[in-house]
Amino acid sequence: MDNGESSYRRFLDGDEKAFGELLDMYSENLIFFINRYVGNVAVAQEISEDVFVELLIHKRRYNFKTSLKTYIFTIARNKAVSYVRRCARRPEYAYDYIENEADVKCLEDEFIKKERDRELHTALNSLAEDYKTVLHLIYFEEMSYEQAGSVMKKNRKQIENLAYRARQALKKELEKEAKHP
Amino acid sequence: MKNREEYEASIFAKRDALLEKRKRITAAATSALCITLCFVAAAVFLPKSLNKINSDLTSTAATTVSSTTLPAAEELVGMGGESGVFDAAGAIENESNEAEAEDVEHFTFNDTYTKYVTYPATKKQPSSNKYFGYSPEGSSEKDTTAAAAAETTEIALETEIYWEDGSRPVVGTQKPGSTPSTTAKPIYNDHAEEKAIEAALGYLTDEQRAKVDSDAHIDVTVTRNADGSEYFTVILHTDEGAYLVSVDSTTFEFVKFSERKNSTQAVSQGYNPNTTTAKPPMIPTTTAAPEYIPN
Repeated sequence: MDNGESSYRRFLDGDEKAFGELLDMYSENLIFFINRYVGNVAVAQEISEDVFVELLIHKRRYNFKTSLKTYIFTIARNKAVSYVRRCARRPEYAYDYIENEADVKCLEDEFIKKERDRELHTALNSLAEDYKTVLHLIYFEEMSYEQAGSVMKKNRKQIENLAYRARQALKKELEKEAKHP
Repeated sequence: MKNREEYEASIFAKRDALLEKRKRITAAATSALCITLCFVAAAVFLPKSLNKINSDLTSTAATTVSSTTLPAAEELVGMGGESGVFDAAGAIENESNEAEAEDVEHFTFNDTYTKYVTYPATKKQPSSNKYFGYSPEGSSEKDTTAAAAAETTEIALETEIYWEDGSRPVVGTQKPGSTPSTTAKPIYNDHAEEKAIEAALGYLTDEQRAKVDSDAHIDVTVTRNADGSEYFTVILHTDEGAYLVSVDSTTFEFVKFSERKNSTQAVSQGYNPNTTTAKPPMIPTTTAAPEYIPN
């Protein structure tokens, strides 16, 4: 399955329209993924733009040996984590965006089609960061353990244990919501 | 939330801004690098150049200083040589006139040395070269002994030391200027010497007696043998030298006769540089300044 490698190769060969295909393929997924870190859709969109700018600036950094999707989400995670850490140290660096409820509703409507996913998404936000990330990559982005491990800089075993504990925590959270809807 | 077109336009706008920023950073880094290289080059090569210039200046200054101070140093050396010569030849210096002293200032060390170790013939010379430890070449030991004895007698006569009874101390037993020895009892007077002179003249042949200079001073010395006996030695000066006639001190009998040539007379009168090629008696090497050797 092509994860956009061919489009990116064509872009590197001079096809400007091929980059549009990458935007269509990953922009909303990136915003939704980054939003789990930053908790702000506008900020997540800004950071996702920075991820694509990274692809435009450092054209030869990707070696086509790994999945482009993994590469893009790795960049997105690094930028999101850096943003969160930078804002924690120096709040003046935070993007001055006010959370818009309409944007959040739009984003969730785009990704969460089913009522069950919506409940899962809500329970997922209450988990720890690593639990949210590993479950998001596995269940929402449908990545394998290897790909998720590559994005989170962990090996397969660590991802398996992390995913197990994340599922246990999610289960407790869903049971709690079931008892107190 | 941006739409698709705005989202893409925002991405490319960020890219252009980032590329422009990178260009500025590159240019600034290049300028900073050039400035840094200039500073490094200055820090590395400037001290070397300064050192080279400094060394050149130092060598030039040293050359200038040496060229300017060398005459002064040479002058000082000349003065030091002068001083040493003056110290060593103090007696001569006292008799030197001002003109000679001025001339010495322009001499080199060797010139000064030559000038002062050479005794002028018109000046008074030391009474005997024995004070300088000098034995001229060509004179025999016997002649030297006789000359020394005659010299001693002359010194004794010049000092005119007499005892209370009018007698004169035994010549040859004490040095001029010293206190007469009370143990050496004088037993001879001028009358005994006159008898000795008459006896000595009597032992000469007519030819020898005719050569004796009647105007010259006749020296008489007394010599004591190991057995206690004594004899007079009468020195009769002639044009060619002197006759030394020894007679017994009591009986005035003939003991021995010897003849001294003029060559020994010159010795008794001291060193004459005009008649000998011997080494000078006095070498002012201890007080002379060393020769200046510039670096």
